[in-house]
This record gives sequence, C-alpha cells and structure tokens, in this order.
Amino acid sequence: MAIKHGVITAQEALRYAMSVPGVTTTITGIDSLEVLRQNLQIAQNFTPMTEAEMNALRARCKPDAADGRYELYKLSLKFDNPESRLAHGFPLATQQSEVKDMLGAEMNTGHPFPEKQF
Amino acid sequence: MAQQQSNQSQQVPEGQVPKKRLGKTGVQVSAMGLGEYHLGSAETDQAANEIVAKAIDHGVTFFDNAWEYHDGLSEERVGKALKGKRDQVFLMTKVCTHGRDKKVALRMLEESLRRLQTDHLDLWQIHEVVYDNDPDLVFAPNGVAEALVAAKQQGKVRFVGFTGHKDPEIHLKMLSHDFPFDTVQMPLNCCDMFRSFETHVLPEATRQGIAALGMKSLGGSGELVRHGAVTPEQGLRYAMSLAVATTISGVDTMQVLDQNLKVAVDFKPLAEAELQALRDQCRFLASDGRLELFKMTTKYDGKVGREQHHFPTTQELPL
Repeated sequence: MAIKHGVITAQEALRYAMSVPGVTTTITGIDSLEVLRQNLQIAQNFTPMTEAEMNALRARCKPDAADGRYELYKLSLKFDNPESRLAHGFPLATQQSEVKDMLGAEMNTGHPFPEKQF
Repeated sequence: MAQQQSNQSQQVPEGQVPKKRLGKTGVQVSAMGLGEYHLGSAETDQAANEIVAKAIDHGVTFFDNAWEYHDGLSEERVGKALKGKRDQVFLMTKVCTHGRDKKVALRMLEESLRRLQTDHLDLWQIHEVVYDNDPDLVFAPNGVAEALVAAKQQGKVRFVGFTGHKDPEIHLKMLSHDFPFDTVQMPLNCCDMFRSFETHVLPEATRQGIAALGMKSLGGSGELVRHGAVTPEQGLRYAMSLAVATTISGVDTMQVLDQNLKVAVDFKPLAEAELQALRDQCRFLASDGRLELFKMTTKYDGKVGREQHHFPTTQELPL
C-alpha cells in the first residue's frame, strides 16, 4: 500500500523489514518472476540499515502512515480469512474471491455451509 | 391521533428519568440521554419534534448530537424541536475536525450553534477519536484541544470532552495528557469484553473525576438484541448501572423512545450479581467482539473522518 502510494520504494520497505532487530526471516509473497528477481536482488545485496537510516524512514512515513491507512489488515475484518471469520461468527464478505470459492466448494461437496447464520 | 398518543403515554409509566452527577461539573443530567444521530433518520421534522417533547416531559435532559450527523440535519431538527425549551436540556454536540486545526473547529462551533438555534452549548466534545494518531493531532500546536479551551473562555461552551468507539488504548492516550476534560464518551454494554472500555477506560475516567458517558448499550444498531444476546431492557439496564453519568441511546421512532423510557423512568441500578449474570449470559457470543464490529473495522467510522485520514470509503472497503 505504502509503495503504491509512493511513500517508499520496495527496496526501502524490504530492507527496513529485514533490518528490524530480532527478526530471523522476512517472509515476502511472490506471484511472478519479476517480483522474485526484485526481492532476490535486495536480499543478495542486503546490509542492515543503521538506526539513523531506520529513523529517517520512519520519520518520512509518519505523516501519512501514523493513522494506519496503509495497514488496513490491522483495522478491518475484510482482511481476515473467511474460514476464521466463520468460526468466530463474523460476517463474510460475499464478494471476496475466497468466499466465492468457499461457496462454490460447498455446492460441489454438499457440506453444510455456513453452519451458523446470523 | 389523539387516541394513539394517549395509548402511547399509557405504555410509559408516570414519573421521571432520574438525574445523575456529571463528574466534577456540579451539574446533574438525566441517567438516559437522547442520541440524536437517529433523529436525523426519523421520518419527518414533526416526528422528531414529538420525540424530543415526550423525552423532555419524562425528564430526559441530556441531548447528544454532532456537527456531522446527517450533514447537519440532526442539529437542525433539534434546534427546531427545542424552540422555547432550550433551558430545559443539557445540550451537547461534537466537533468534527478529525485532525484539522483550531480555526476549522471554531467555524464548526458557529455552525452548530446556528443550527441548534442557541448561543451556547452545555458540552462540546471532540468527535470520533478513533484513528491511532488522533490523540497526537488533537494535542498538536493549534489543534482542536486549543479550540476547546478558547470556546470555553469565550463562554460559548460550558464543558468539554471527547468521544470514540474504537480502542481503549486511544482513549487512555487522550486521558494521559492532563487536559481538563469534563467528560469522556465510550461504548459500554454487557458484551464489551473484547477491547473492553469498562475494564480499561471507565476506572481511569473515574479516577480522574471525568464524567463517563456511555453509548452503544445495544451494540450501536441493536446488534446485541438481534443476535439474541440480551433483550433491550437487559441491555439498557446493564449499561445504565455502570459508573456513568448518562447512557446515550439513539431514538428514531416513538416506539424506541417508549421502550427506553420504560426502563429509564424511576430507574434503579442492578446489583453486581445481576450485572455478572448478564456478562455470563453474553460471554459465549461476545468474547471475541463479534457484536461490537465498530471496534474492529473502519466500516463504522464516519465519512468526514475517513476523508481527513485518506481512508477508503465504505463502498471501497466492504465488510
């Protein structure tokens, strides 16, 4: 999100995350060779950021990011897995692709779904 | 029509909604407050007038509104309904800067006063402190906190406070500034177990002598009742029994007002054992927060605040 909005680059974001003390590994999702190449280039040339570099990046992000607008997964149920929403009785977003898949799967298997309806 | 009205008044017992102390202000307010966002949803101005008149007749004095409710309609309706009755109520509205500065706040104050047809508010609160950086923005130089002080000095507002529905941590951050808030509004109900305001914020407000104002006693839009956790009577009784000055309940029809008045007239707080029995009754449904989605998703945050924080619209962020 922050990258799409031009607040930071992918290089800065990954290098920051990989520099956070105490992190053993930084997991990053890959859906194309292009993304893999980009990430490998960052990881292979990786040197940890200094504390000053990290602070500078935090300061740059703060005006835009401090309200959480780029981390909606912390703020909205929309990003929670439909399976776990269902187990907790939370509403499903029927337009979500995962939910559509689940509803489709139910049609094939005949399993009762959703088990509990509010 | 007259027959209908007399039937309605028969449903509500004679008597008055009791008064409670509003923190350290020396003022007494009704133990149930009229939530006027919902007055903007009432069918007509006339329906809103009748709701306001009947509420006042039964001793409701606490009036809750906000600059942004229904783009000003809620304030306009209350302004009309209070003609000749302004002195009988404790009039509150909220300022909706959502991070903007003092000047914007004071302009909103003038607009609220004009719509409410009055020269002063009894209480002016910062609306919807729900984003993580809102406390920083509130207390920034030239921020809305300075507007509260200025408005008080100018005699346009008697008391000041803030409200929010999202996270006890944000409320506690607001309360850590030693700012002379008179009131703090928060969601309080018998399903408030996830991110509990009752557990985390109410004791701190009480410790500081700041009057707590309860809201969302039935989940905001009756969720607690619709999902079978409690009856409306149980939900209201629970919320009104807590250490709050008032419990604000939204009213959009005479039916809802009557239901509320039946509980609130001559109200006596529940004993601790009864409160615990209601918590136990709700625990299975409520402990993961499923009936208080306003704490967990931006869907319930107002559009003015979203715009200021550059958050997606409700349509872009469906639940």
